[in-house]
Amino acid sequence: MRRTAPSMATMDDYLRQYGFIFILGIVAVLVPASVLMVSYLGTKIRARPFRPNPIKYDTYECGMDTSGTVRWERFNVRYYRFALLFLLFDVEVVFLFPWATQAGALGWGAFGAILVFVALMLVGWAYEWRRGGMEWDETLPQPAAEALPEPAAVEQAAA
Amino acid sequence: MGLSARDLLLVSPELALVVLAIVIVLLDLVLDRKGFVLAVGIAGLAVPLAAALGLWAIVADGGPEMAFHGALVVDAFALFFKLLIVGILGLLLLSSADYIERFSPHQAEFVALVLLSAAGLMLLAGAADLIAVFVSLELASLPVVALVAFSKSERSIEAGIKYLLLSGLSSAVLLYGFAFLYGATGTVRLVALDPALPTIATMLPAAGGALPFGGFAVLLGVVLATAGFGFKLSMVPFQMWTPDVYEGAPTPVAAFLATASKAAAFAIVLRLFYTALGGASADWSIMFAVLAAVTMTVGNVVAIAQSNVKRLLGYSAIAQAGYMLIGVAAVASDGGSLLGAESVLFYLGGYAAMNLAAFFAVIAITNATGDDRIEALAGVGRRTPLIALVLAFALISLTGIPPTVGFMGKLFLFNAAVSADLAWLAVVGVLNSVVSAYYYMGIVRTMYMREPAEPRRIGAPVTAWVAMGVATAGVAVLGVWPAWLLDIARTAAGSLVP
Repeated sequence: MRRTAPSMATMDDYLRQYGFIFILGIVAVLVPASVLMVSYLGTKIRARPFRPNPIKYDTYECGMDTSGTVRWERFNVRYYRFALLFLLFDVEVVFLFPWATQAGALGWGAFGAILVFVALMLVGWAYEWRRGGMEWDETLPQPAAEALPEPAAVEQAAA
Repeated sequence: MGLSARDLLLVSPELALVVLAIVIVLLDLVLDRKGFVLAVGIAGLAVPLAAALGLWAIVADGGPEMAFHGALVVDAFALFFKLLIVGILGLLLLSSADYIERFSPHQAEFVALVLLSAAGLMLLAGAADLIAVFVSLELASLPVVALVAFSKSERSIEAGIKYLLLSGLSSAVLLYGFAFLYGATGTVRLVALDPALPTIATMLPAAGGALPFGGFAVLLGVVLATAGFGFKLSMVPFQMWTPDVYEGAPTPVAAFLATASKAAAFAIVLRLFYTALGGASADWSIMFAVLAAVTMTVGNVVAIAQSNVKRLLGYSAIAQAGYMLIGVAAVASDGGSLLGAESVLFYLGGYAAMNLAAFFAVIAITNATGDDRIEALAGVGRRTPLIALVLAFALISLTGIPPTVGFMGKLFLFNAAVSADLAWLAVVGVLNSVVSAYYYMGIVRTMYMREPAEPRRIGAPVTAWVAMGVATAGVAVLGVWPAWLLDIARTAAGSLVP
């Protein structure tokens, strides 16, 4: 293993990339901070109305009605199969993208290798499919209903 | 760069196992009959077997070869373990034909996971750098976690979680040790065919000075790596999981852990210490000598108190690991003789035969009785004379009484210890064999001298008989004619040190 010291130019380029991240970080803090500041100042000069209601204070959940508490919520165990399935295709794509950008330069050998890789992923997919991993099996037990707090309690907590 | 056809040829045994596992899973998806799964698995093992034998011929002619840019080495040492693991797999699948019926309809997954884990173990035997060691170790461990929990009983799942957590912890410790080794030497390479390439052996700081291994970083790396491997070897003080996991796991999985998994762990320990750290052998020899003495003593003494035959076999596995560590410790002070390494290889071969014979008999009996307490073995000698005979013979061999391979193996191990100036270790080993006779013979006594609780006879399927027959024949043949395996072990150990 021959170790060559990186030249100064490449080292600078390398550090410069962290510089961009640093600048992005500053912007990411400044933008929401200034919005909050404007909102706060708006309250001070009574330009901002104050009309709270439970729906307004609800947790945002893709537009669906919120169910249960936000933290440590019990969820249906069946979701884990879908998570696995998602992982399968997600990881597949993660590996496909770098190859796709260099497909021409890498040639047929790499194409064959990626075909083998996709074939292996397909084995997992076929297994999941045939074993019924994509069925939403209603016979499995649901999380106990009493574990969920009453909607009234949620509204009170929000108000 | 890129991989060549030669690389694929050199990993063909592992590749064949992985393809076999995938074929079994896919066939299971499209076909309805489940009986074929095992038949395909056993017949398919002919391919990796043939590939490993072919590679043995190639290596015998042209010397060792490296694959994948030096990540894997194919030499007689690695191939010895690959052949051993394929042999263990074949017998194991034969013996568990009845047992895996209870996993219906998931027999195919069981067989495939065993094959995948075995592929990882075979890669481990040929791993030539620390990265390859770690990756193949994980490949071997992960399927075993699922296999241990395969019974889906409370005990089995508890054992699976124990194995998962402890194997993760030991992997982390191992990796930490590897990081120190890399930091101290600047390379992860264990083996290099080109002498110009730096390896850990050539980059190791000169031994001597106040600290063992010539420096704090290497010392820490070696201690952490030993702790990490100690888990796999079930070496004291990292043996706590062994009895629990053996008891909870399906019995064929316990047999797999006790034989194939242990063999591959010894392979990589021998490779790391003899090849990469051979220059500091004086420093680690004494470490392994002490660990060997403690391991066999703890294993044997605690085994006496066991009432469950699978737990007892777990403690027996710890004690046997202790005996084999004698061989690891018995590196000659001049470094030239490989008596210790070759006696470990011989013992691993014999241990696979006798331990599998014992496990197969236990599988056959407990499969019929559904009770794995030692008490339940009462009168088995009358209920099934032949299986009882197999178990008794295997236990005699595990004790180390002639004319069995257990005796021959211990003879070689103790001989290696004496010639490496570790006579005290040989004495400890002999004393431990005496202690072990108490509990091994206790089982034999229970089988023959106690009245059976019920008179019903115990039978076994033909495949289990074949497996028991082959394992028992191995114990007997190697006991009276050990020379051929010793020759192979000598060839294999010879490729360990360049």
